[in-house]
Amino acid sequence: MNGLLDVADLRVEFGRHRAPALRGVSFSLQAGQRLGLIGESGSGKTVTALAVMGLLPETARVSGSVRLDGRELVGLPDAQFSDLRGVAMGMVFQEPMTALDPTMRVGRQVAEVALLRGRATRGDTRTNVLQLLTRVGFVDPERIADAYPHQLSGGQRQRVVLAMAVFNRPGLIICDEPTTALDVTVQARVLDLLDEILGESGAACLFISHDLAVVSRVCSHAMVMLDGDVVESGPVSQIFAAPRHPYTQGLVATARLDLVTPGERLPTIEDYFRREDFR
Amino acid sequence: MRWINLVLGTVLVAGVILLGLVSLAWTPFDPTLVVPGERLQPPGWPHILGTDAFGIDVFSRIMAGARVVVQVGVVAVGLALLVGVPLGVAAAMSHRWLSDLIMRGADILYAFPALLLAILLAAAVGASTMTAAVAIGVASVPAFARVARAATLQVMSSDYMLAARAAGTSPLAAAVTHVLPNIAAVIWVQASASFGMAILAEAGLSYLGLATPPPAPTWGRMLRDAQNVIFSNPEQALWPGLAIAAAVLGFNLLGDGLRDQLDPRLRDIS
Amino acid sequence: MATVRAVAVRLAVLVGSLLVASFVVFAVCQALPGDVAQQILGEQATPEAVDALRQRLGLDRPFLVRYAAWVGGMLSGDFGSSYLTGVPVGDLIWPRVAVSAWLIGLALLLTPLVALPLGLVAAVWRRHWQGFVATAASQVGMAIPAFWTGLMLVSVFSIRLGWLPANGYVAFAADPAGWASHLVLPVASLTIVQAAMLTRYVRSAFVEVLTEDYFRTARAIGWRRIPGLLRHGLRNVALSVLTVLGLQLAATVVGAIVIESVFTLPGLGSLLLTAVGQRDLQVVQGTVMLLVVTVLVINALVDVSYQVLDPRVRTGDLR
Repeated sequence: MNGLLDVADLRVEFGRHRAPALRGVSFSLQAGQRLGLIGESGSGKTVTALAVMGLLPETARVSGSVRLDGRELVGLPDAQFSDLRGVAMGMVFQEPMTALDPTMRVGRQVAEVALLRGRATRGDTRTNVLQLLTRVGFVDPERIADAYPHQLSGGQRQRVVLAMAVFNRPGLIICDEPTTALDVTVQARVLDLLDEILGESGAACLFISHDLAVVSRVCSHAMVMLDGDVVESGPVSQIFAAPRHPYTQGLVATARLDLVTPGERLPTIEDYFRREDFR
Repeated sequence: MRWINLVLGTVLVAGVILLGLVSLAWTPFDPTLVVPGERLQPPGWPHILGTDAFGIDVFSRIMAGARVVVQVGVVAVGLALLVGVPLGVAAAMSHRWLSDLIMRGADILYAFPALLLAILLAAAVGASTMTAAVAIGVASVPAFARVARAATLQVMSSDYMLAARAAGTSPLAAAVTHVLPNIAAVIWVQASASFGMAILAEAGLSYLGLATPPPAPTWGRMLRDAQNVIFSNPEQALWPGLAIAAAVLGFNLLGDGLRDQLDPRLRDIS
Repeated sequence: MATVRAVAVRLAVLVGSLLVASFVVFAVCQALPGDVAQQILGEQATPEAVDALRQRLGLDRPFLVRYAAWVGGMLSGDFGSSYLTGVPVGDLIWPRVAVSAWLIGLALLLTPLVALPLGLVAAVWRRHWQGFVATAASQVGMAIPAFWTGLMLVSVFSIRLGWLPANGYVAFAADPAGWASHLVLPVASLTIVQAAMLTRYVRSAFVEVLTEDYFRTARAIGWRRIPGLLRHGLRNVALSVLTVLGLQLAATVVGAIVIESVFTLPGLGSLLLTAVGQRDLQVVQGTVMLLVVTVLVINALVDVSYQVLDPRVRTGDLR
């Protein structure tokens, strides 16, 4: 247990009267490794990501351990946590339409990532920003930098957010359903880009999705979550080939529609897994 | 925390209304009786809050003042509600140009706060409880129209409203059977907040002599009287001010509390 | 282009509003009171004398002609003359404008300066005692009338401590220090109440920013909570502050009327109250109109300034 990110027995509760959001999650992520986090909404994927980033709302009570490069993050004061964000770890969110400040030009928002660290002069930064925007696939970085978020499409915005997340070359990048809100064709482009950038920078990635097919494109390993628990984890190939948990079996069946005989009813998760049986 | 606004607001509002009601039948002393021999008594017995510069019992005057406040508030808020809510509902349910016309009218009225209207009325026909109440009521119309319009627009986009319209229900019938019941809660919240503002406005107007004429006791007039002796007896300004603050705070908290009950998700935001 | 069009539309609305508002003021002052000439001369006056006065004051002309004459006069700076004293209304108004303008202007300037930090505290620490204190202070501040705040400030700072004058006014040109000391308490009384009201909106605007996705993005790239909130929230909060301040303008203007009465400042408010006391309708009408014009014009300016503050509006992609 001394990878880049070591999570042990992580528990999160919101208020006394609600069911715990995480019930003791443990996993480990090596440098450069890509781990997919799969589950339906409410299964605790996003809470896990936010707990690692230290961005849970104040009402959350967190216990257990999250270690980044051996440094304990649970209970870390916000000021010190802030210094890690954007430097040691970056995050890409689900909703590109609202993830950028609507009143600020895109270029300035990207530049903030550099300026926040106190290094780099303005002129420098502008060059860096344009380079980075080119890196994430924009052919006209000048125009993008001078645009306001609402003038960009969802896919373009998501690439901007990705650029912000990787600007300082953090060792860990967390992606929370980065393509869910995008059109299918745009989805593929953003995933390819992500794959390329991760490969180039050698950063580790915690990739959250409800879609097994998407995870299999980006990740080597996967972890399946259900109601705040990890129910299965292992290499993606193994999960695809021999899912053990009934819920995972359902996920795999719905992801492999190419195996369905035309004219037959499509499989659903409920064919494999009914929650009542597990209560 | 969730209940504190509602409970505190209800207690304060009930207190003010109770004081006003009781004053109709009984006050410890005559709230208009000038007793030169008992001027500026400190709080004690039998004058629990002391007497003012005329020798009038302060507590009796505050009780009688509560009556005026409730009177003006009921007339003003009632007027604003009866005019503003139908206008707002009509604006939401009618054609664009009529809706624009109504809301532009509301915008213009925003430039005429209660005090300016009361000044105009007082100059034109003389100051009285009625001119004050009407001025405050008219000035509160835009707030009700806005709230009613916003709430109605929300109801209009709901599925049951679509169903009712598809079934051929007339606009008026739809307004009465579907819209009014569904916007009632929001209107009550606004009414409570407006009542608080009406009390503040009434106090200001009676302080300036633009509302209920003497000798009828009002909290604003008590403060005007207190100002005349402020160099020798600054404490005279304390009690009527506290009465106003408690009454307004009560209605504001009641409004907040009602809104919290209405929509718990809004509690953090608004 | 969209901006130019929006400004033109807003300007047209402003002109329409001014016409409606002036008609309302004129109608209330001229139609409601009945026969002004009779009132001036008293019940015993002969019909001939009343007719003569009516003619001299121009009251024999039709209502709409008189209205048009009044509006036309104001456009050229002539507010008419008092029926009672014959003094031109303009001569009464202009020397007093400065006093009221200082009072209202300083209060409007200080209001956001007080409300922004208080609202920020109330929002960021809304689950802690600091936030509770800030919220409670705003609730209490909204419930107390400005003139009572004035009386309380006088009893503490003028009477008990003797630091500041309790009333009166000195022109800035005559004695800057005296001018300032006479304005401190009136401006403070007006500001406290308005700031309490604004704090409530600042708080909810900041709370909204705290829940926005773009704020979470800002936190994810390393912003600490308060610097991030100022950097990414302030512009968005400014929009709602501007709206509320626009709505508060009218309240501040009338608040100033009351405050002038508390501190016996020789501004428009005291002129107005004296005129009401004497039922001097021409003076009331002119002064009220000036105040209403101020409110409507500034509100129009506020609307136009959105174009500058919100790029979504400015580029015409929204609204």
